[in-house]
Amino acid sequence: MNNSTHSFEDLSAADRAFAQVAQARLRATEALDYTEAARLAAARRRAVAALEERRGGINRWLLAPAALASLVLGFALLPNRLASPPTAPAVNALETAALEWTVDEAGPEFYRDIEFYRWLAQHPELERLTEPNA
Amino acid sequence: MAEGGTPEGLNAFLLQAQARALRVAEIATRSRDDALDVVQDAMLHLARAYGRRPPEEWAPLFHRILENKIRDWQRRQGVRNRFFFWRSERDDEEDSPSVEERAPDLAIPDSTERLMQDEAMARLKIALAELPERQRQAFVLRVWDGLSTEETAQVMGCSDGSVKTHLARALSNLRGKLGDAWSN
Repeated sequence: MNNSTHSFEDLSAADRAFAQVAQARLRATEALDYTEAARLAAARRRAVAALEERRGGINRWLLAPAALASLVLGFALLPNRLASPPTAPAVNALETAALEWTVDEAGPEFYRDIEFYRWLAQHPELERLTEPNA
Repeated sequence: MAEGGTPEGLNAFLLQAQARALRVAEIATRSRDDALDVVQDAMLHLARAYGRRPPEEWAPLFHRILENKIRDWQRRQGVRNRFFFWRSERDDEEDSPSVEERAPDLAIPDSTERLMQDEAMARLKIALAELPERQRQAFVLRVWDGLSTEETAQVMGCSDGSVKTHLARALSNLRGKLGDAWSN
């Protein structure tokens, strides 16, 4: 659909003359009347719209896997987030120091029997009896 | 890698290709309305199936699509004609213009010459339409469109030698039907 003319040198002289005249006459018939031009313009618009739709459709196809990947990632990270311990309430420096001191001084058994030691603190007269070397 | 086609590029391509495509289809279908439908289908097919290909590939693809659409149309017509065989040729004759209507308007200068040219073109188009499909393709692509033998072979999906054979037979047929005086 172009106006380039490759030579007809591979044709015989009679065929070449015929081909040249036929080409010129056929190309002279290419003018369009109003009806033809209008219908072809409408066809062209539909073709261009089809291409634009296709390009838009491809973008939508790219969006779908991206959305799916986000969902998968979200579901993968959600259990970790739910299982993580709640953040400890803020404590001031003094309380932290006291806690450290207590932990350093007392063994784990102190915490296991903390009710007993609290009761014992209220009855100092019994403290002597609990001493192993008493 | 070549860049894909844009809607603007496609519109420009179709704009410069549409008139010849219409005339080619008109010769094959012998009907302007059917030719317009065929060209419209070919445009849509190109946009949907190959619109994102590099624009330099569009011309051979459009040629091939157009030829396939023409072939589809001819196949449908063949089926349709088998079912509607009772339609007489008289109906067609009634639609054609009368001798008086076809007579040149002698009051208009050059109208006789123009009529002769139109008559010559009409004869060429009829002769072209009567050619076997491959000969018509070779003639349209090689002579009307001015493609090289290699480009024509690419569109037709055959060898260069086959193109030369089809074209030689097409020219021989046309000259036989129209006479050498036609080209003077």
